[in-house]
Amino acid sequence: MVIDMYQTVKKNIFTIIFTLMVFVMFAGYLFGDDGEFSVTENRYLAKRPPVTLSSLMDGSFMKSFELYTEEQLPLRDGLIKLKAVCCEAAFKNENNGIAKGKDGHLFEKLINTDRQLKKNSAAIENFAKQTDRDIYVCIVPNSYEIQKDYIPAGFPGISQREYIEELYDELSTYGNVHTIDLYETLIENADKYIYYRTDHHWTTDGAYLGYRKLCDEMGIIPVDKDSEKLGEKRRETEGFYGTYQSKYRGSIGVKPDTLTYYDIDVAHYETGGREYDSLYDTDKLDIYDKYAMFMHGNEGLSTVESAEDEVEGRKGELIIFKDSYANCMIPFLTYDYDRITVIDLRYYPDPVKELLKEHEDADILLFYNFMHFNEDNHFYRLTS
Amino acid sequence: MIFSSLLFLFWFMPVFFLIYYLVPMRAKNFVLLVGSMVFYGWGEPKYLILLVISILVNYLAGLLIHRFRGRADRIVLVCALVFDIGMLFFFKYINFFIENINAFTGSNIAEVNITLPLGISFYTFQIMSYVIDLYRGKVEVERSVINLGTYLCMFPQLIAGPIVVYSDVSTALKGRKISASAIEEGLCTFTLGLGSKVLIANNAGEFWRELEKIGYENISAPLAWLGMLAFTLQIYFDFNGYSMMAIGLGKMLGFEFPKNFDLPYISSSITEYWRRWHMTLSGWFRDYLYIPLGGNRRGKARVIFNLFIVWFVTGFWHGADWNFILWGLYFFVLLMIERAGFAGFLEKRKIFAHVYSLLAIGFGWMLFAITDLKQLAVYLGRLFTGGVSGSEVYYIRNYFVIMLLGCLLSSGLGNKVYDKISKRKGVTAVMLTGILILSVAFLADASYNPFLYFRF
Repeated sequence: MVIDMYQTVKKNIFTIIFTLMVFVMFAGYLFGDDGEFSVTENRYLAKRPPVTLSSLMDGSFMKSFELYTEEQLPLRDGLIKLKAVCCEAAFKNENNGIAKGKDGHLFEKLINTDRQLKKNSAAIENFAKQTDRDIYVCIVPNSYEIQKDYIPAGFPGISQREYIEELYDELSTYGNVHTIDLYETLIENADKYIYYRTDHHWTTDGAYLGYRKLCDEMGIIPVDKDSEKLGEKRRETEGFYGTYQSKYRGSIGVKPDTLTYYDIDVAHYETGGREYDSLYDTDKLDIYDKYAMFMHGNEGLSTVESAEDEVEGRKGELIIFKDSYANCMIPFLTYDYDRITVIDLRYYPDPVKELLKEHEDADILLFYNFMHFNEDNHFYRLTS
Repeated sequence: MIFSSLLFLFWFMPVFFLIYYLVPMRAKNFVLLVGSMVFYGWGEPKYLILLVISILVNYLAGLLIHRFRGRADRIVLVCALVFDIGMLFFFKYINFFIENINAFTGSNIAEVNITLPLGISFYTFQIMSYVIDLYRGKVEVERSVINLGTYLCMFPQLIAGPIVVYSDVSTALKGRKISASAIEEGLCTFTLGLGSKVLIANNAGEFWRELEKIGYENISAPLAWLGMLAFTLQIYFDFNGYSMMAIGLGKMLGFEFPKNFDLPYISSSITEYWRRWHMTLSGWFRDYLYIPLGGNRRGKARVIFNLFIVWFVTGFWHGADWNFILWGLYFFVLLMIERAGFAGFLEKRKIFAHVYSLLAIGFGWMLFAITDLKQLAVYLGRLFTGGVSGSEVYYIRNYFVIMLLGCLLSSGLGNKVYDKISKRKGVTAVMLTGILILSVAFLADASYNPFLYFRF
């Protein structure tokens, strides 16, 4: 009898395993709690969609249900981790487009330009044509382009410098456009901690290099970050894993980053319609997406009023069109401008022309990292 | 819906098979029919109607052929075939013809706004086998529309084969036993197929897609060759994986589907290759096109003509584009050369024969993979003039494991190992469980999971 049982189990062992696995997962979907938010991926997850006749008829129910099965998969996080570990075990140093280089540096791989790049260049040119006000343009290269000693052997990333130079050349025909080339200054400091290892942003020290170069071009005197005044404002938070790591997910040799910021006071800060007395949202230092602490994240319109008023050679107003790379640099600029208006075109639907009219004496700065400039599709709003 | 999805594994499978196994035999076909409709309609609800019409028309044609046997059966058959091929022509080829007529005559006919109904190339061939075989008296008329519908819609082979002809399953449709050992065997085959698809095809395909992104004009010669290898592996593990999953699911349902692949890449000639690659398609063309055309019984010139037709159609069946026709004719030319005496030469030089076959197959896949003929020329050019770029190191590091695994498994080594260990149940179970868990892990984090043969 027992031997019979044993034989039956043995004969059908895989059926038993398969059935168990499938039903456990099925039960997990049915009775498990749906996760609301993925911390590592920094986004909300799809929920089980309600059944309606119209969504069944047009197929949208099926699509959202499929997305739900992917995002609410029981044990999803562990399984994704397992995939990453397998990739590492198979000698891969790339997962989901993120490659691991030397010394725990992760890099995003860009192997071709997006169709959007040409459109974005044209959008900036059109913007330059429309006005005779001074426009400063700065495109920041991403980490793989600069930290060449740390990239994996044979890393196939395209030369961002070439494309940035091409853009700057085109813009040089417009007398009112001033381009800021950060390549040299960043390369000189390539061995310093100027980009996060596990995140797509540059560090505050990297941003400071950019800030200095910017000041040179704009004819303003940069604040010295090593001065006593600023030095004592330096704060560090350890244990920061960024967006690269949330895609890469491997564990061998990946080191957490240290996030640095200067606790610079401002008189007034307003972003996304809310008012704050600090540029920094220090609550974010306790969550996964720590970089979101700068400027309280990305909002369409933010305004900063400086607390400084005694610095030599101060200027009045600045408008920045930017992506998140600017977020850790803007604090330095409060030493040079009384008032800074920060626009993220992704979330700013109002006409830019009106804005420029309102601030007719303001300097204009376009500040983007290359990856963003390569693929973002909101640049057309510059001429709206 | 596709087999290699979390939706299929963790929703469709438990619900469907639970119901299927619980209901009595006489209700199983109905459950299978409804389940298959859900499976098919999930992605394309609007094209379900096409499938239903196809079933009804051919069902009716079957009854009429039977009723007017010896009198008007030929006319009914011709009408049914005109309908079947007409549907396929309209939904798959109409825009190709409009485009080319416009290009050649300068006319300006508007293109029709349709998307290709999933699996139409496969199910059209399957249902044609029913009416043709019925006309030939090889099978009995099917009086139950449920049974015929079940045959045509059966979800395992509905979308991408294997092409199961009606006579393969006519007996099982009327009554079948489902044993525990068949379920066990079916699940093993299914899981191996799932692993082929998710672990090997998707990962090799990732490299192929990488080259597309870089742009063919920018790739170096070593990368171009590696790309050819990657696509060659991807399409085999993709399609064979799909066939294995279908065969496994068929077993679990109580059906025996024919084998579709027999280690095609170990062939030592193209003639042999086509006996091992997509066997159910070659079989279909043999039985329903080549032989009706007269096969090899009407003299040498006629054989060549017949083969030309078969290969032209084979190419065209794979896609409504010139490169697919070119791909078919490419094999026609190779087969002709082999027929003319090259086969004898190959037989005496085994190593050369394998190298030649693999290269010929690989080049063939490039014709197949790159639909734009200008891009194809660029790619083929890079194979010889691409130089070296330095990024080879990076790609080799990232892909050599998967490529090596793919090469070993497609050389038949995998089968040998599996046969050895399959005698030891415990080891097999551990291995299959590993493959299953890994496949789910890769699906959990998959950005790239297409089925290449879905385009057909």
